[in-house]
Order: sequence, then C-alpha cells, then structure tokens
Amino acid sequence: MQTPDNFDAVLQSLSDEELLDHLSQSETPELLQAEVRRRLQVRADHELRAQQHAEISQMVEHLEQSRVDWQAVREFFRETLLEFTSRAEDPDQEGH
Amino acid sequence: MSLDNSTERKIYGASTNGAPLPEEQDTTTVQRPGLMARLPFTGRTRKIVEWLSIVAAVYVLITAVSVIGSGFGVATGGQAQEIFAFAHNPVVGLVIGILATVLTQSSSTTTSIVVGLVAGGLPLETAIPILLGANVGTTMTSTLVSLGAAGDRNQFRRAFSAASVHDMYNLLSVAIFFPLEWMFGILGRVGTWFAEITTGADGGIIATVFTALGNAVSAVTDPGADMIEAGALGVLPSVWAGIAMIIIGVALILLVINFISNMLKVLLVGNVEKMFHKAIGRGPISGIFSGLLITVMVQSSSTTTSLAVPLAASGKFSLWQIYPFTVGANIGTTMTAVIAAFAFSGGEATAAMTAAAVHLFYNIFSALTIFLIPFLRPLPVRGATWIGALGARNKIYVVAWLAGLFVVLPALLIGITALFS
Repeated sequence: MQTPDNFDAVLQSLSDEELLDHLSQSETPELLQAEVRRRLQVRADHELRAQQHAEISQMVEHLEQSRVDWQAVREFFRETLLEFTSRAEDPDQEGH
Repeated sequence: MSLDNSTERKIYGASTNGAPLPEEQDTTTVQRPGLMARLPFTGRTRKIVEWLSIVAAVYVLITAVSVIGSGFGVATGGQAQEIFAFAHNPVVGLVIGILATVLTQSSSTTTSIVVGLVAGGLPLETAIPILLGANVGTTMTSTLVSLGAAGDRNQFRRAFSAASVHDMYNLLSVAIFFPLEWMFGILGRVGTWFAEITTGADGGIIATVFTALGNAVSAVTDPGADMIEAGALGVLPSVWAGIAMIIIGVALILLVINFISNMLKVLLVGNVEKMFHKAIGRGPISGIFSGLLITVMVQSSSTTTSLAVPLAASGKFSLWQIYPFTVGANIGTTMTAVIAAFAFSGGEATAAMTAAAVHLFYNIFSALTIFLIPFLRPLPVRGATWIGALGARNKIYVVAWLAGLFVVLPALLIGITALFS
C-alpha cells in the first residue's frame, strides 16, 4: 500500500519528463503540480544562491563601492533642492 | 527529486558546505592609502611591511588614547564632574555622541576618545549616553553610501533600505536601552562588574592576565604619551596644555583609525570574501557572527554596514539577509574601544575598561533583545522597507529623514528634557 510518505518519495524519484507525462495523464494532478512547484522553487533557490556567491566574488568592487562618494552626495542634495524649489514654484509639476 | 550531483558541483564547486571555493584573491586591487601605495616593496616583503604599519598604527592609537586621558585630567584638574555638569542631561550626551560620530564618520573614533576621557576622569554616567549616541551617528555613513545609487530608482530603493536597516536597528536599541540606563543604570553596573573582573585587584586569574597585558602595553606606549605631555606642559599653561593634548590625541586617532581600517581591508579582503561565502544560506546567527568577525578584522563597522549597500542594491540579497550582518557589525566594532582601554594601567585601566565594557554589553544586549523577542525582530526591516520605498518615490523624503534623524530629533529631545528639568 502506498503511504503519503512513499508517494512523495516516488514523485521525487521521477525525472522531469516522467513527471510531466504523469501530469498530463493524471485525473488528480494536484500532488503532481505541487511537486513541480517544489522543483521550480528548489531550482530558483539554487540559482539565487549561485548569483549571490557570484556577487560576493566581486568583493573588491563592492568594497570600492562601499566608500562615500562625496560628489554623488553633493549631486544628490543639489538635485533634490532643485526639484523641491521647482515644485514649490510650480505645484502642478510631477515629482521624482 | 533533488538536483543531481553534477549540477550541484557545477553551481557550488567541490566544497562540502555548498560555498564555491574562492579563487586566489588579488588583494592589490583594493585601493591602498596613498603613502603605502608608493612604497617600493613587492610580494612577501610588502605584506610584512604593511602588517608592521598596522602594528605601528595601533601603537599610535593606544598612545593617542593615553594622551587624551592625561590631557583631560590636566585640563579639568580633577573637576570633571563640575565642568561637565551641562552634559549631566543624558540626552545632551546622546546628542554629543551622535554629532561627534557624524562629523568623524567613525564610531570607533568616538568610543576610543570616550574611553580616554573616562580614564582621565569623565564621569561614567556622562560617558554612557555618548557611547549610545555613537551607535546612531555611525549609521550616517552607510546612508551616504546609498546615495551613490540614486541614478536608478529600484537600485536606490534597495540600497537606501539596506542602509536604513542599520538606522532603524540602532534607533530601536537606543529607544529600549537609553531609558533603561537612565532609570536603572543597567549598562553602568554591567560595565563596572566586567571591569572589576578583568582589571580589578580581586579579579583572579582573568584580571591578572588582563592587567599584565595592560601593563605591557602601557610600558611601550607611555614614553610617547609622556613626551607629548611634557612638550605640551613645557609650552602652555596647564589647562591649555591639557586641551592641546586632547586635540593632538583626537587628531592622531582620526588619522590612524582610517589608516588601520583601509590597510586591513587591503590585507584581509580575501578572508572577508570567504566569510561572506560561508555565511550565505546559513541563517541569521551565522550572519551575525560573520558580521562580527568581519568588523573585528577590518576594525570598522562602517565598512561592514556600507558593504551591505552595494550587495543589496544588486538585488541578489534581501534585507533579511543583510540585517544580521548589521547586528554583528555593531558588536564587532566594540573591540576598538576594548583595545583602547589597554592604554592605561591601575585605576585608570579599570575606568577605561568600564567604558569599553559598557559599549560592548550595550551592543550584545541589543542583539539578544531585538533578535530574541519575536515582535521586535522584524521592526528594523519593516521600517527600512517603508523608508526605502518613500525615498525611492521622492528624494525629498531622504533629506527629510536625514535632517529629522540627525538634527530635528536631537534638538527636540534636548528641548523637551530642558523644559522638564
């Protein structure tokens, strides 16, 4: 007799193609759909993890980017002030 | 069905913990301080010279803290309590800590100075709020770093949110522990207890080891400090000599703290990278310890918290992943004040270690409280998400946030407490 645990193990042992075959033929596809969603989530997690490791591997660049760029700071405040004063003069103007 | 082994190895390499094996890091591409970049050494010799330069800088740091302590004692002539009566209002102390750290862009500088002042006679009750304020002031750096991403709205939202996690966390810590300290003196008591067991006469083996270490350090740094003191006293009347010593000490600390942090970044960038790799996907406790260790390695919480900004801006890291590193950075940065405390011996050492211990335990208690209490833990992330969305919608909210946090709120608090005092 197939228990829920056995059935999960059976589903997980199927290849992607076998799973899609079962899905197209099954009259109660919910469990199969759940397995497909689980696999997609696992793959998305692995891909995100790989991207995170790739970002960390650029540590030197990120260390450089983590310094205060005073020119960017001055530019930020200058633009914000300009935007604020121009909106004060013309209240109908759209913001940001 | 899990991914087969060949796919996992492709993503993660052959290491067993899931982290890819970092390739040999070319540390020379991290920008060195100007003087060090011009040295005519290469390879192993350069590394040795650079490590020796860090040792020399730490020597200067400890000497400078000692000079501040002596200068303060000379300038105040033992009347520190009366002279600093204006700062008896703890809110004033909190604001001083915030503003001093915003100006120096370094909480380590502020806390090292405070350790020296306490050793020189500044009352601990006056110093504690300054130490708490330093935690808030240091959040300015990561916020300024995030402004560099303002060109792209989504990137800026992520960057500003990541920086604001630090703001929100420290505001929450102050909101919890500032009143507790004011009413019950918790941090002062814990700091005093720790100083007694590490430097007190009855502290046992721990105190013996710490005292021996402190005496050894003092023996090396005292000659330099005494020379500066003799020079100042030889030229100026005592009060002005004391003030000159404090100014010289502060200037030296500012100089070397940045140098130490920049050089450690150059030399340890590979280790920093490995720590981040190991921490990914391992949960918040691992993130806290990684943030702590990285900050101890580079001797700068601003480096760790500012590093979170480009990582978050890339879109690959969520605020929940950044958050534990920020908490760890707050704890790691307390090591600088502990190192500074070794500038003293005897009774001064106990006073200095008390101040350093207050800073250490404040950050440990904050981490435990905010992380272990379920309804507190998400607050910094929620607050940062909110302010990040506002800031991305209109930059004026960013300016308002900065002005509010570092100008309006301190002024308001001082005004309110002055009204009621």
